[in-house]
Amino acid sequence: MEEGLRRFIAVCVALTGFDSVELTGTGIAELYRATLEKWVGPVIAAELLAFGTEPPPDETVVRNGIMSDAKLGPVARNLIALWYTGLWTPLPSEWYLAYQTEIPNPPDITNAETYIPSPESYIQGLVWTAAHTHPMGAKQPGFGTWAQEPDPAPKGGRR
Amino acid sequence: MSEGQYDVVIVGAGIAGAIMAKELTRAGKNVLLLEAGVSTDMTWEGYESSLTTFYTSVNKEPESPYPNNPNAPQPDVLDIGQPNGTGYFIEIGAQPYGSTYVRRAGGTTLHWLGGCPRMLPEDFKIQTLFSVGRDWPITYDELERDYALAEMEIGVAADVEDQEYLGVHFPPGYVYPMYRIPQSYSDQFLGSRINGMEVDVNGTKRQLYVRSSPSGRNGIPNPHYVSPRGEKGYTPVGAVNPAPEGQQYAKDLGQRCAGNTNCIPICPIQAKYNALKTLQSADGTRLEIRTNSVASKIIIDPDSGRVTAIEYKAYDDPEVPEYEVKRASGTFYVLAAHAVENAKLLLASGAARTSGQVGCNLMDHPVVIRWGLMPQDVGSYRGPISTSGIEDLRGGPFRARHAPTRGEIGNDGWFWPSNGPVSTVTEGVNRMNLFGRKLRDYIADVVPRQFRIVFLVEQLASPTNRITIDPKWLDALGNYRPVIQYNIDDYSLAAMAVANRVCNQMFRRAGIEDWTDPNNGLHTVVEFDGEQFAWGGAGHFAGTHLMGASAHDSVVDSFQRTWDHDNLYAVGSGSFPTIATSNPTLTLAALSFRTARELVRRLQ
Repeated sequence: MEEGLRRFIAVCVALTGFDSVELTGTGIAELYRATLEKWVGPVIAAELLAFGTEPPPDETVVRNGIMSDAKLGPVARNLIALWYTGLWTPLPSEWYLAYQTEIPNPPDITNAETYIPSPESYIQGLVWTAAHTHPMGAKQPGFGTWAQEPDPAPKGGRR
Repeated sequence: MSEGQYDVVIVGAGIAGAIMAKELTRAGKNVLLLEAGVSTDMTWEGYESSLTTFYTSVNKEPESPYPNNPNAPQPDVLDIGQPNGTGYFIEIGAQPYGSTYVRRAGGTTLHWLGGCPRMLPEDFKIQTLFSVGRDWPITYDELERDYALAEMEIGVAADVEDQEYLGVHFPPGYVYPMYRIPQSYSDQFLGSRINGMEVDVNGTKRQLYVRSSPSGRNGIPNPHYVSPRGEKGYTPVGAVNPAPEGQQYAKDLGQRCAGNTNCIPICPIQAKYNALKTLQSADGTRLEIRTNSVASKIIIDPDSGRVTAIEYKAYDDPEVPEYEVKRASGTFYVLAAHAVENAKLLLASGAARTSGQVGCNLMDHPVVIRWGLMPQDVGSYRGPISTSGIEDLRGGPFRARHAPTRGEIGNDGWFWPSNGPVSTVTEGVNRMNLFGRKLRDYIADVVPRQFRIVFLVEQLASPTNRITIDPKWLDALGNYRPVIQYNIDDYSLAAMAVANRVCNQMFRRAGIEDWTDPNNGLHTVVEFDGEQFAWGGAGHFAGTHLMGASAHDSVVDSFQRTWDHDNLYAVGSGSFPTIATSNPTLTLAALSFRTARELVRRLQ
């Protein structure tokens, strides 16, 4: 796997609670890496990807270095939402104002709206897997499955 | 076929128009079907494109797979309560009208839930029995065989034993085309906690039961089925796929519901009935369908009062407001364009004016929405959107004082009440500051317990709840947009309060943690006796050209023929004098069979 993508997935493992096999298996990691770079530029993306260590960073490192960081926190929360729901919500204009010098060729955000980068983004949303079900309108489980007692959703997935 | 040779000109390719077209063509009559919207979903490829549109829609509201067409505009859930000019409806009443419909071939069956309860026998005579509302000019027993025909056409899955309550009855030995759809685990859990719970509704004591809902979705065929026409057995109808023999790739798709949990807005495999299935089984040699053709005026001979033509505007591109005015002529004319569109067309044509009731008596089912967390994992977001209901409060002596109500139990978690599970992710990430495995654990704990129930409340016909037209408000083709005046009266509000109290009792008995928040910004709020309710529309339009026993106080007769124009029929739920508590599609389908039979008789 290309090093940038490997790092991207490693960061996303720490952010989402899904392991690298699960994330790679969605088939959309590369699209999400491109989505990230499209909206925050390569410099800030690289800063986030620097946390993509092997083994992945522990919770304290993520909390201190990413989630509570004014620059990387909003980006990481957006990325989590993207993975879980397929939705990319524009970062606030204040964020762009604060970090514009670190974004070469900044994207046009004047009419930016929440969007779903591809049909697969919705279908591969992690929220459905986390909730031990299927995306509404896709990955049909089959006739009568809903009448059966659900398998308990495994806490934290496969460890 | 050239102009003027049609036996019947039908306006609207939804379920009512499709049943009329099928029945008439199969009886050897020539039919022209005008459809205002596009034909996208009539092919498998087109239907798939609507599914893709749904996947990439940020807001997955009922209209999301079916984008607005400015030349045949439609209401959108996202426009409800917004300033006039934002959406299709112009709202001038105390409350916004909470429901929407689809204007394209297939109509609103493209995004209907599929609920197929029959009306109760008492629903047809509430004026006689309870001194409220109006009586129908027909009885349950007169409509019974047409109900069975509608159940055949839609392909209803249900067990008769579940559906015999509050006077609903069936002929001896009757079975539905398919066995009932399995009730969800969530329904079973709720039933295990509340079945038999006694409620007191203003002196009427009732025990509540979680009961399987009759559904227009494919299940296991009942081998004992015999149609009202004597045909034995039933074969589920899968996806619509007009293609040469051997190339109908999707033909066998959707012969069983696969639990996509997406009946609204789009069943990916068409296991849920839609009107395109009926349309494809019409006699195609006698049926001409013209889509992109918006009926704009009914042409009436002033001397005889007979309709001589339907004027319509034919366009090519939905985004380009260029059109050609054309006329279509036949022996009979059927408006099957939707309760709102039928009323608009009648009003725009100055038709059926004697009673003064065209456009009046607009009804819906105001829906009380409640939500909470189940005490254990019930596997939410699995199965068809609803597999069970609470039917025990649909009828009774309390109707003299307040409306009856029907509970619909969801399998779709908090999707309707709070845009779950997306909102659950947002809550976890942005407010609870969760990430990684703790976020995943939180989702795993909460989402499979999310539960909602809604109670649909009857609304009486009122002349002040109405559709009008105003030359100030036109669409891209210069056709009228509906101006809606709507309110919910105390008769319905009192029933919403009853439903709310029943929910409180049910939640306490089942141990459901109440998370109902009427002010979460996603719902309209009404108050009654100091209580606030989150409410929404049910998509159940009715009453804009209601039927009755006299030309003086109703628009159509019991065959849906307009009293004023001998060869003009207005069909659909617009003909309902009462909406009662049942989802209206089955009843309007039954009425369509009745009207088709009458037209075949008149054409002999």
